[in-house]
Amino acid sequence: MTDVFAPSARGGSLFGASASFRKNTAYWVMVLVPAVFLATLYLTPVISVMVRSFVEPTVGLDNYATIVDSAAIRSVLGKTAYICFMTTALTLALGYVTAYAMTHAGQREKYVMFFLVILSFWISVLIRTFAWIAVLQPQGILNDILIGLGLIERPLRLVRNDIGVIVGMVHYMLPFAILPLFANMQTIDRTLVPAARALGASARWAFFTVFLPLSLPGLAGAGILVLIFSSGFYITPAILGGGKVVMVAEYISLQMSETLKWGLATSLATCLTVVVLALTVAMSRFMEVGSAGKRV
Amino acid sequence: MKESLAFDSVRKAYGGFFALDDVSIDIKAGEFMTLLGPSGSGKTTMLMSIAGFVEPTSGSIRLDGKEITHLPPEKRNFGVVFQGYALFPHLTVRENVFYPLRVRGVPKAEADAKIRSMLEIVQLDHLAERYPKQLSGGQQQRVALARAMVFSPELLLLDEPLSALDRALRKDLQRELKDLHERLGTTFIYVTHDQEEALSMSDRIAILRDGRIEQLGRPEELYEKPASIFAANFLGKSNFLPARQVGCDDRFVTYAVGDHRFRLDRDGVRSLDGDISIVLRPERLTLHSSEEAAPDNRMAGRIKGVSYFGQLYEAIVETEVAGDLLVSAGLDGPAPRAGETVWVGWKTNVGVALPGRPEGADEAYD
Repeated sequence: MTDVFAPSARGGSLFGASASFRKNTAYWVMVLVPAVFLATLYLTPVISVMVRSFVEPTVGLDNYATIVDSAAIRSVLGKTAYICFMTTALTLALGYVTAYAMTHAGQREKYVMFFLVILSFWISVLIRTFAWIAVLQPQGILNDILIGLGLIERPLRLVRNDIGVIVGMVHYMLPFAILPLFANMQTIDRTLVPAARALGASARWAFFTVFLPLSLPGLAGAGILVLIFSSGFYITPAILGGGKVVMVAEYISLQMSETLKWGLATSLATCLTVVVLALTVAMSRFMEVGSAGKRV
Repeated sequence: MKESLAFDSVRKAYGGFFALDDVSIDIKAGEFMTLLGPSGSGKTTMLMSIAGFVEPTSGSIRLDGKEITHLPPEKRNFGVVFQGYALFPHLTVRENVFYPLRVRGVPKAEADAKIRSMLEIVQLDHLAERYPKQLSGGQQQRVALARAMVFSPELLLLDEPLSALDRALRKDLQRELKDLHERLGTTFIYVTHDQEEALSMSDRIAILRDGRIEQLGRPEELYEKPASIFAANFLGKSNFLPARQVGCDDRFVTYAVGDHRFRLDRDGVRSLDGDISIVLRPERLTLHSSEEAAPDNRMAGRIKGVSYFGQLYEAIVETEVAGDLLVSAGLDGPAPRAGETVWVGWKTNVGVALPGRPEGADEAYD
């Protein structure tokens, strides 16, 4: 038996080894090319930014000391945190409702809603932001309608302030919240809520004790995603804020192009990168917790 | 016995289609009632209208005389075991079983005692801190049962609870369910498409077809005296002899299949005109090597094929008169062999005469 089968078995494994070696080489090449590409074109500037933050204009931690000391920068950071928080909260609230409706809609309605959500990706963020100005400005569509209806006498201030920035950002972020929330809700067994009701829970109690806890991983994932995107948002706050609402990304850009304080700009960019990295780590944690929550 | 649940001409329409079409039934307290039917027969719609998830278009559903037709599910106090068990994945076994008690505001100590005794009944007390995904299918099934029973519901509704389990486990759980029913005395309403399950567990069975109750009765009644060809076909195996009624005296009714005549006891059959089918169950037919040994009702044939099932043989006998007949033979007699010439016999008290012919029968018998 052994004599008969040993050679063929050895031959098989030899063949397998060479095949898997060739296959591995192909994989390595496929991984290496983009890795080298990314390292050169992405990592180099990032590192150069980080290095600059410690050496310009003088070597040391001066730039970081300025960030801590300057009241102006503190207020920019505070404003950024506030806008990010509001945007995330509103986006999650609206996104959750939309994703919930999509999950429970009929098959055709689901396709239509999905299409409408995806549709906003087709329009440039710049165009959308200017469209919001047309809607929200004092002589804009919304104010005209409200005045026409006699609900208000003077136009509401909806742009060049926090409201405008938050409206524009929530609009941009919504698909990024809806899609992960929808993906998560799709995995929730549709008989669980009826089961809870059969066990005596009201529709509302069944939602809060069964559906909501099971959708928490989606909510956490979507929330961190939106938070990361919002923290570095530039165009929408710059245009809808009209210079009145300055978030950290616009502030960095100002330091680079107007005041030429590259050291301060790069140190702020470094801080932002660290925050985003920390959030990404937190997100991956949450995703793990999400799958662990299923306790496979 | 007092009435527990009553359907009074219940209809459920979806557009022009009736999922339930004029269903009336009285289910007695403590009864094990099975709703049996093929998919689309309305059995699940019926169960879900009892649970409160489907609102009838017309008619009424009453519990102990009290109208519950439009009551929401959470107000009904019925236990429901769903097909996929519907256990809450984010809660442990104990928390799952606690859920209906928590909703009802049962004090902690009392709830703990109830959970413990319920988990003991379903033999899961050692797995109370596990999550559903860590349990086998049979264990999940038991958790679903415990959760549906722990608040002492007035009815327990079960929607094909065993369909996801393998055959051996299904047999065990059938016995356990039956046992549980006897211990707790709760009314069980059980939906299945598995006729064996229905026969072995139920006090009564309702066979459903196209939203109507085709036949309602004890398992023996349904099996021995099917009221329609559909019922005879759905429950167990049957031979259908295409016959006409040709005579009737005070003891026997005489039938003819072609030129071949036989008799059945008069008090066991209905008097019928036109095309009729005589239902003969395979285990009521006997095989004989000679004409003299066979009973009066007999037919010559040749064995075409034999299957062995462990506890019995099944032989297909080709007859000139009535086509192929399926005959079960016990293991005591000589084993039937393919190619043998035999006589198929049956007693005068075993056939059922039904109006009509099975679908596709014309091609089969001509």
